[in-house]
Amino acid sequence: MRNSKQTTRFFVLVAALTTGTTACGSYGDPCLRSTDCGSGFVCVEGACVIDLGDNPSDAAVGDAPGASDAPSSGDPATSDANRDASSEEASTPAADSASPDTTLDIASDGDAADISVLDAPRDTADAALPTEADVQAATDSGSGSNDAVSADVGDDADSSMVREAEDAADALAATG
Amino acid sequence: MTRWTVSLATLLVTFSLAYSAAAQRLVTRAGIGIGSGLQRSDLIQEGLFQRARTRIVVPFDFRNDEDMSQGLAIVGIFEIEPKVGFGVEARYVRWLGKVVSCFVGIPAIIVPKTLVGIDVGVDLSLPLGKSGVAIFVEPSLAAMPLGTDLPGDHLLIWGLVSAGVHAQF
Repeated sequence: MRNSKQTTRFFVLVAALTTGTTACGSYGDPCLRSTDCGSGFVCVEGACVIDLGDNPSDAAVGDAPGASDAPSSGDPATSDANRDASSEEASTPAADSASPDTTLDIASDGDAADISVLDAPRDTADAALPTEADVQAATDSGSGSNDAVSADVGDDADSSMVREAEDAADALAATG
Repeated sequence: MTRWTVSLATLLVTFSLAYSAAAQRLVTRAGIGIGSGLQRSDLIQEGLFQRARTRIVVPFDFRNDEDMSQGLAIVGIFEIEPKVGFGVEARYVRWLGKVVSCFVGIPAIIVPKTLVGIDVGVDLSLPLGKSGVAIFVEPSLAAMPLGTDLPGDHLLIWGLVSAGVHAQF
């Protein structure tokens, strides 16, 4: 009985010795000692990784030879930042829209107004484009005597300019 | 002058005729063997053990013939597979009879990087006749917490078995 137990232990030991993993030192191979890794690799957290030089502890298993050095597109923080930036860019009016290029001239007598909206720069094409008829209808609906009101809206003007034109038309209607 | 001549002659005769007195004598034993085993560290992510490096061990132990129950030993360690390395171990050995001895030692791998720890083990010697040659089997357990060969603050544990022959001089 005792011999069989010892025999079993012996075979377990032999099996462990023969099936146990040994480090050969290539990328990703397990290592318990620094010298388990081959030339150009260092042992970090039990795996051989590429030696990055002065500070090998900064290396990680992900530093594979074929790994992309570009920022990861799957990084949640990065993607959120990109998304936020793009959405902000889309929602924020272009700086040119508030520039003196857009002018509103209202006659002091109130009888007539000359709304002149200069063409906006062409880089604000993402905004919803109102038609000239929409602007004309908005201005006509607020006043009966503002037949001289004209709106000249460029095809690529953005919504902020349209709102400004509508506000001006409302002001004219109130004064008229 | 005559008195000094007689004294010197008497001294020479006394030295030449006197028996040598019994004194301590160094008993040396040397051997060679091969060993391997299992190693364990908290760095292991798959399985419980890895196979330790195969090594050739060359032990030398020294005893005083007036106190054969204890002695000191120096063991040369030559790691040969899968990576090579060299180290030495200093041991205090205590004999528990003619067959069994136990030891505690400080193994140190020196090159290519350092690894230092402590180990304990048992040495079983099976004499081959009366020639002083014996086969030895030596299981040991070592803990290696120090050295530049350790990646970070990790403890490396070796469970080793060595076997070989040694002879007493």
